[in-house]
Amino acid sequence: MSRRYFEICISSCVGWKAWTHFMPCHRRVSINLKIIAQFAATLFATNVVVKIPVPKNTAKTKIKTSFGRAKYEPEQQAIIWRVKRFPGKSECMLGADIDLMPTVRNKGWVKPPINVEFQVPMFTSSGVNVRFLRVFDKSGYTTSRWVRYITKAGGYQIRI
Amino acid sequence: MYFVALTRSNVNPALVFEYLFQKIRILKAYLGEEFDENSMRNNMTLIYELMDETMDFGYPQNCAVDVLRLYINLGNIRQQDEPDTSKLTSQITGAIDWRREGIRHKRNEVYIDVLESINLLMSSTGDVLRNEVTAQVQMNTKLTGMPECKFGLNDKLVIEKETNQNRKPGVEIDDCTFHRCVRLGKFDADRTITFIPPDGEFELMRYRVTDNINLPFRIIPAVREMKEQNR
Repeated sequence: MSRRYFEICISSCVGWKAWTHFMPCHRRVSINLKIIAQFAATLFATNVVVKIPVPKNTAKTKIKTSFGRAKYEPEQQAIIWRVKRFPGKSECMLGADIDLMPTVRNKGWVKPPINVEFQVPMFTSSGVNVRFLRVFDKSGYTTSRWVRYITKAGGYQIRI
Repeated sequence: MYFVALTRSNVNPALVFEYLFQKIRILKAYLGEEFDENSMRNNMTLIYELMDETMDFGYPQNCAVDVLRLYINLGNIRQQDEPDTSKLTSQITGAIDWRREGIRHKRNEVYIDVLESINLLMSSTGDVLRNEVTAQVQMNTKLTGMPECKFGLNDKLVIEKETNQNRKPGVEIDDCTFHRCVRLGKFDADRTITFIPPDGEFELMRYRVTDNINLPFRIIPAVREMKEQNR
């Protein structure tokens, strides 16, 4: 006898009151997310991907974003929000209403953290910059130099 | 694919790992970035030859690709001009084995790339649990001759020593590692980074910063689970 069947058997013996205990209690989840770019307004971030975890038994999602594209991806159990170009000193909102499928047992939702990926060209989050590069050679030529900076997200996670 | 090294004595494990990583780098340079078992099997003689050059009696020797290219020319590696044999000896036995003499470039150029990777873990209440930046400085040098380079970052320890007061405060760099062309003695003495660079692309240094990090994004999540009983 499977465990689930067993539980239903018990609950039907004990009566309706016990049965309601197994009824789902969280039917909807709403997530609001605000993301603020804190780097200079002259810069912009590219390929921003925000991965917002949703419960396993998600049935339907309704997502509103101020810019970028957001989509529920069932195979990742997450809402994936992509912004190609995120200007500095700007902020962006995402609101999602999630309808859950009813489940017999309420397992609870183990919330993994929100994961963010991005790249910000010409920005260093540590504040490091190259002050100089001097080249000395016997022949005494002049050198052209170019410096590029880029900050990428390694593990950028926010627990919810 | 696994790369395994065996030893009979109690050697420094860091040495073994470094050798294996260098070996992989050399194989990538010779066989292409995506080499596999087949390309290794097809180039067995080349690999034997590389083994012979990079390791003698169990001691790692010359692992610089640019230099190895001078005298190991099998496979699809670009054929270089036939080097003068007298120069070759001084090259292998000399103090600077990562750069050969007599490199000429029409235009002398240096490209510097600072690549930072930021790690953040924030709790649900907004406290920062872990926050650090690991970074690497990549260089691409196209310089003539044997140039001596001096490189400067806005390192806090260097900036504080300078008398000029109206500078912005520097960044506290926690730990750094360098390419072996950098003179470590000089760095230990006065934290200046001086080196004779290899030709072409290389990773000059890596560093880590854990204090005063500017977070590029602030994220404020609000999750509400609506309890909606059926009855």
